[in-house]
Amino acid sequence: MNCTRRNFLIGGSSTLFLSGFYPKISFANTQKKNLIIISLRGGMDGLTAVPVIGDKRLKKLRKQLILENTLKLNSDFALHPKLKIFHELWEKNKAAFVHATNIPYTGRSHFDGQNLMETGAHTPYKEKTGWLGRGLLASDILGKGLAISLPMPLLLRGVPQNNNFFPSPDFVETKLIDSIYNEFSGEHNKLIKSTLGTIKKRPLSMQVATNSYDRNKLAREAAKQLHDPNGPRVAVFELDGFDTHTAQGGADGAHAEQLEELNNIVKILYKNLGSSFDNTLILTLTEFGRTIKQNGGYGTEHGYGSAILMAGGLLKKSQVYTDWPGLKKKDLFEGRDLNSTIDARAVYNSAMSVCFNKDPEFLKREVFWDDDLPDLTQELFKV
Amino acid sequence: MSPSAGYTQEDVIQLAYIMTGWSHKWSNKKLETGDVWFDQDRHQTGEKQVLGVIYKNDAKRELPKVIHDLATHPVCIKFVSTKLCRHFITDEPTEEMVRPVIDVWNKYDGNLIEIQKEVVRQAYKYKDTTYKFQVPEVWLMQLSKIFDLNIPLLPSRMNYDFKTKPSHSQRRLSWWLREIGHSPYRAKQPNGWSDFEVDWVSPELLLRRLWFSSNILPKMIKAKNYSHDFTLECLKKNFNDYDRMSLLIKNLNSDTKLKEESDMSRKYGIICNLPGVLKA
Repeated sequence: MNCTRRNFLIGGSSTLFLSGFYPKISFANTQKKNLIIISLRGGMDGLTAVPVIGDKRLKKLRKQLILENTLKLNSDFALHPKLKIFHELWEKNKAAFVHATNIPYTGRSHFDGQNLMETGAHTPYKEKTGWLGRGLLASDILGKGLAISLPMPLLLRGVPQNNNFFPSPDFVETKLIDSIYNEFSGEHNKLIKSTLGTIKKRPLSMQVATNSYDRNKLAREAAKQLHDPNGPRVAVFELDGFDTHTAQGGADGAHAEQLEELNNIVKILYKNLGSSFDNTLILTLTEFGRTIKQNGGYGTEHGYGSAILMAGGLLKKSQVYTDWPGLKKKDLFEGRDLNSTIDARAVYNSAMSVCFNKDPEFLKREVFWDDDLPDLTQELFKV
Repeated sequence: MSPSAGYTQEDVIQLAYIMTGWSHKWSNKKLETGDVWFDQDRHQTGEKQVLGVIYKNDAKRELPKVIHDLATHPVCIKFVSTKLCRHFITDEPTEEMVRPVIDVWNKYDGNLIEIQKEVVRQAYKYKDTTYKFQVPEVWLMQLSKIFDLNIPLLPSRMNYDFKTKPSHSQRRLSWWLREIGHSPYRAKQPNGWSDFEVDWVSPELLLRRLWFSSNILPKMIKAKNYSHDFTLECLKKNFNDYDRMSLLIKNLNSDTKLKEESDMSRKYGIICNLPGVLKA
């Protein structure tokens, strides 16, 4: 167990007390399950991350973006060479992919798209809360969200007492918070007071000063927190730079570098989650895919269908789950993009249902306005 | 002016035509930016129409005309006035708060100083019923004012000729704003930073303010040789609940050099993050 500031002082005795007097309860149903979402901002190219094997049309349209040394998944799909950890996990039935999927947004704006991938809504800027926040609230899971960013991402909003981790350059004495905490009273101070309360309860390891631009450090700490049975159950990471309009590259280059960053985070999570990795789901989230055809600057433009990259022990098996629409001109969205045949929100709704122990139908009503989202838990996850 | 002005995609396209040809100069001496200029050869000729107003083919004179028309549009005036009230007074400003600002806008033909003055008047009028949790930038400017610190440098010192890199002191404000989560250049959405309170509340964002006020601020106060009494005087001048404030920091006035630094750090960490300062 990780120590918080409070129980650091009383930890020893209370642990003894608990183990001595309470009957041992079975962990089979109560074991904490973690859901980790990694936002890939800018439009992740599903056809670069999980390329389709031997499609002549793709080769023709992407002459300068050809991938070499891809990691083979099955007879139809391969993996970008930088996504090594996903391949390693695939061999262990702990990585899977959903392909030709996207949120139901067909516009071309990052701003609208990123807003919708976080709110899960149909109209940009209409909703002020995120689907993950609403899912936690509907499941009565409060104070268990952890964001690895300075502001609270929209995705996690809508549920109180979330925590985040992005330490300042110098140490801040939490003693200061004890001095001001009681000064906050009344209805209009409720939000700040509860946030100060969250800080007071933070474990010692989250009080360090560090270089917050070191993503590896942040990921290590997040993994440590998620491994703690009393720690967060949900974590949100942010990665940007996927908007590669020029010099996108193939096995190396701009898009490859971002995929490598993603690979790094997942690798660190896998290593540091230890046994908890088997009770974890990691899913990526992006606003749209990219056009099939490369442009004059050897990049790609904003597209539609993309892929969701998944890892974790709660996956049913290694698979590329897709209703592949094909890449012929007539199969493309608006004649230029990989189509989306699976509403990405169905995947997220099913993942929440597994990790929060809730009926997917119930979550769909509470979180996604009862939109037509099929239950994919049997197909994708361990139930 | 917000979508409530009822513009269409065609209005956006027409406005884009008016803007064609405008560009900024790139220097060959690795300057970051240069003057704005108009290139007639890259301008879309012909008549344009924005929000029902026709702009005759008039080269570089089209843009100032359309800017004037948009800036004096009633929807724009109401939109910006509401935003100003939201920024300083409350998340949901009422008609009674916004109306006087609109009136002053019209009366003084958009004079920005008069408009801001009216916003301050309204903020003061509602000070006992609204408790706006100030965005980090406003909070920082208030600290600068309370403790007489000139955190934004004087215009004469900020002035540089774009031919040299800005100095450390010229760049520090931008760095501080970034570290407290409010970099002027890094808003992620095209509509800029949010004015809603909830967007500025997260454990790390509150900790960043504690970090600034207990690490950076004491150094600045020290550099100015301000005394403990000066701090108290500043609080007395600015806050009604001065007694409570001074009580909280009463014991933090050490004579020994060794303790002085941590006392200073705690003192400013506490003062700057009390409800009355965060929500002014």
